[in-house]
Amino acid sequence: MAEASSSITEKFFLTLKSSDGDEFVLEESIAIQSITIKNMVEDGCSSSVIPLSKVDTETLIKVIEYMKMHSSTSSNEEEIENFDKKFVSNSINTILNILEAANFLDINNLLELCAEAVANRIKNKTPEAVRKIFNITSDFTPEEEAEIRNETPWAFEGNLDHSLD
Amino acid sequence: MGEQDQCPGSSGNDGDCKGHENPPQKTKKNQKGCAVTGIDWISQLPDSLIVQILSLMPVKDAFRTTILSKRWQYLWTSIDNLIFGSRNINCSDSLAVNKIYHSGMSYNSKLDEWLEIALKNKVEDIDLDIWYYDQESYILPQVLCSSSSVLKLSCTCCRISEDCTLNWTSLKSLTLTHLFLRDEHIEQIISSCPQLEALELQEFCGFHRLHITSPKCRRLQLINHGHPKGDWDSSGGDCFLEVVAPYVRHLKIFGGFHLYGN
Repeated sequence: MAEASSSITEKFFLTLKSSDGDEFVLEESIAIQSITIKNMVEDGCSSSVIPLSKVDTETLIKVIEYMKMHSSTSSNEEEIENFDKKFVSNSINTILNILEAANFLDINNLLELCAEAVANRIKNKTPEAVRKIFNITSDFTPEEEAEIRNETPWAFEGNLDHSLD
Repeated sequence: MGEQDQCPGSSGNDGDCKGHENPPQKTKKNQKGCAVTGIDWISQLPDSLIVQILSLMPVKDAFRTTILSKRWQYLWTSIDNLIFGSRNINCSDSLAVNKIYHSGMSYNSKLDEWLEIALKNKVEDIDLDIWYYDQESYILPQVLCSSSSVLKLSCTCCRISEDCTLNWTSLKSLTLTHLFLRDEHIEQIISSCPQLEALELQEFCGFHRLHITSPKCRRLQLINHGHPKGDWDSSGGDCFLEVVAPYVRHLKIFGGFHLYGN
């Protein structure tokens, strides 16, 4: 994370404000990984605080962590890979919040990372496990559910994973 | 673009502007409450995001979400990737295919339907890697043979019906594997792809003339001239292949070129 302290090029800073009202000062070069923010900067809308009404503080902290790691010239590929691996081990609800934020902020590689992490919690799992992992309540009647299973038995066959990992 | 932004007023953090600033670790509670369990956040995501997630998994896994709840019932139908298992055919994949076949469901007709849906959505890249052990080769449906959206097509063990009208107006890359084609068939295929840039034929036989005169077609690969599955014993005899491809820049000929018949 070492920054070139004697950098001659002038650094610009942006202030991002979370939905909870917390403000974060971030180097512009890091923040513009978000296309949404980049567009605002280019349109000259960034002279004051940039309000991110859809991103809460906890999520914004994570997003900033991610952007810093991915923009730092000193982090090598392996470091980034390890960071990403650790990043997706956040709780599934945190990942979902970050996913939504990445979508709003238009940070494509973060969006892909989170989408993949969520997909991995669905792949090869039984519907019961998926419901538990994501707190999804079925609103099908038992008859409706049985009908779906009977119509498409191939989808529910095989060694599906019951675990909640 | 705001030089004046250099030190924006962030409460109590101004001194950090020159250095590497850290987000203030406020203790305020996350409104959504990441830690709060029991709430179904995923179902509240916009459709587009759920579809994006479902598009990252094999169709079978995406389809299974149909049963989660009514919110999920039809979301899988919007996925934009059709991933059918792993690329490498392994035992379980072929078993699954056999099982579907034997259970009386026609795999062919399902595949036709899927392709139709995909083509309606202007799919650009199709890779059909189909191995039948006890069934005729899959015949490409007409809707695929005259698709104007497909840019890249790869078919293994598929057949093109003789009375099919071929018209691949946008196709740039074509790979055909395990295919028996007569001279007139390959001629017809090439003439129906005016935009073709790359042609790859693998495990092919049946024709003796390959004339590619379009200036656009720069890449040609011929790999293993040999019999595809089936009893096309009449293809043999004089084994030669005349290739006329004046504009091809990258040519790869690889593998065996077998002589059949006498």
